[in-house]
Amino acid sequence: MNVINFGPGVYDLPTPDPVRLTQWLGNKIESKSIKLIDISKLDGGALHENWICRYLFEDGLFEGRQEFVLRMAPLHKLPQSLTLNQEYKLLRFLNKTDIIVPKVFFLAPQSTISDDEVLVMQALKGTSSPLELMKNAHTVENENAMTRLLGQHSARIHNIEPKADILNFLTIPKVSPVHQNLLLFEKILDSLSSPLPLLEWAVRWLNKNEPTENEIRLSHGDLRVGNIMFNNTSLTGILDWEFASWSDPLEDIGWLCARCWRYGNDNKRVGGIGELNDFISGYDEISNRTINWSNLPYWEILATVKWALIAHQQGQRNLSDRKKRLELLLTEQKADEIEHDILTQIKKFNGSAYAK
Amino acid sequence: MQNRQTIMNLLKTIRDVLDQDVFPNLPAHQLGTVKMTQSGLDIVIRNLTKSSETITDPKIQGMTFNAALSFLKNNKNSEYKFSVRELAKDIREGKYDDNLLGPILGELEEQVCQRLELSNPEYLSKQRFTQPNVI
Repeated sequence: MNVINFGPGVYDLPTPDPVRLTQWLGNKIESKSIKLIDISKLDGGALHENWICRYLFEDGLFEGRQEFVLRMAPLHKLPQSLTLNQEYKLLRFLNKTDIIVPKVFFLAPQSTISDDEVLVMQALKGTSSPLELMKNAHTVENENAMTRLLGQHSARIHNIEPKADILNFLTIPKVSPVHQNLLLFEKILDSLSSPLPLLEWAVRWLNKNEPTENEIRLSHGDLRVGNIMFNNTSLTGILDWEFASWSDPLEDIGWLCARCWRYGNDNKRVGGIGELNDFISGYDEISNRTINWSNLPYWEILATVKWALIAHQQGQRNLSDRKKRLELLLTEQKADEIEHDILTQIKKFNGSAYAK
Repeated sequence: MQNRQTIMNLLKTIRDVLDQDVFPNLPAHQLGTVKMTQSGLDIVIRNLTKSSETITDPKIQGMTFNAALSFLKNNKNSEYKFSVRELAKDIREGKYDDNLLGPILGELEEQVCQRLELSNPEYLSKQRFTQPNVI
């Protein structure tokens, strides 16, 4: 058995204990023989640590070679994050729908695999690496197909309406989705060590320019390239549901399309992969109602403000791992770029037909 | 306490040694980390250079960079802190609501451009984000 850690030094985020993991899985699965082949940390994720482990089972439900992803509870979750237990319930619900997400197997209680809870789920085929996805989308046909799929799968999420008997742990907002965000933004601004006048100003602008119509649907909350897995051009899963909520569908789409999440491929509006028309065409095929797409630029601005605030939050997290800490401090430095982009977008918005 | 210029020379020399003697000999899988540390050092050097040029307050001349920054940010009487904090407070209280796209926009733009000159001056000419994001 190999335990593979990445990079110099050890992350101070929770890590699974391979011995306790194997014992716990062996008991849970009731296999006569279970052998851990290897375990390694997956790239990405500043909040959650995700690990992949490969096992060989002699018999039972998982007979043969199996791969699992272990999602560890973060040490410092953001106020807007779901708990791992809530994420588990959400994934169990989604596993019964047509939304493609990893199949969730177990939620290991505290003090079993790790000090905190651990989600044990299916390892999906493919990649969520933005650069690899952009490489896959290198032909017009691939790009159109992938973007259309993104539209279809986004619509599937947004077809889920809040009902009394489902996902009760997701609070139905008492105010509009925009105001729900703005209240959170002010809370984040108050928690940061330095005042940020430009972001205060952007929050006021968002407040004054709120679209008149809104709908409440299931929202992924972090729908972007990096959290969407493709195997070549087939979408194999939508990952990382920790920010899920009831919100306006355009919140997700604005986040997906915001320039800060196009990974430098600025002319491809949908996550740096493809064109908005292809996304809309896929979305409208599946969606059970009509979206007012003219509100998208507003939601892209809201997404950019949100990302700027998160960038500032990242810089204030205190991790002892020096490499991770440097990454987060540099993320905070990027906030200047994002804030400049907010000004550019708002000036463009006000000079356009979208402005009131 | 050494003066700021000495500290800056030391930092630039460290940067040169890392660039020319250490980084080229590192294995490929550490290139990402190298780029991060280079970006970090560049930001610190730009900040030091800029603050040496512009800070004329006799109270902070001769201080190390961190001490000067700490003084500016934490001193209750500091004009710097007062203006930024007051501006943020006034905006929150809606004092600019009637004319959000008026002169306040120019003021905020100037502030963010000044910060970009230190964090990423290239953004001002190319408008391209530093990649990748970490979230």
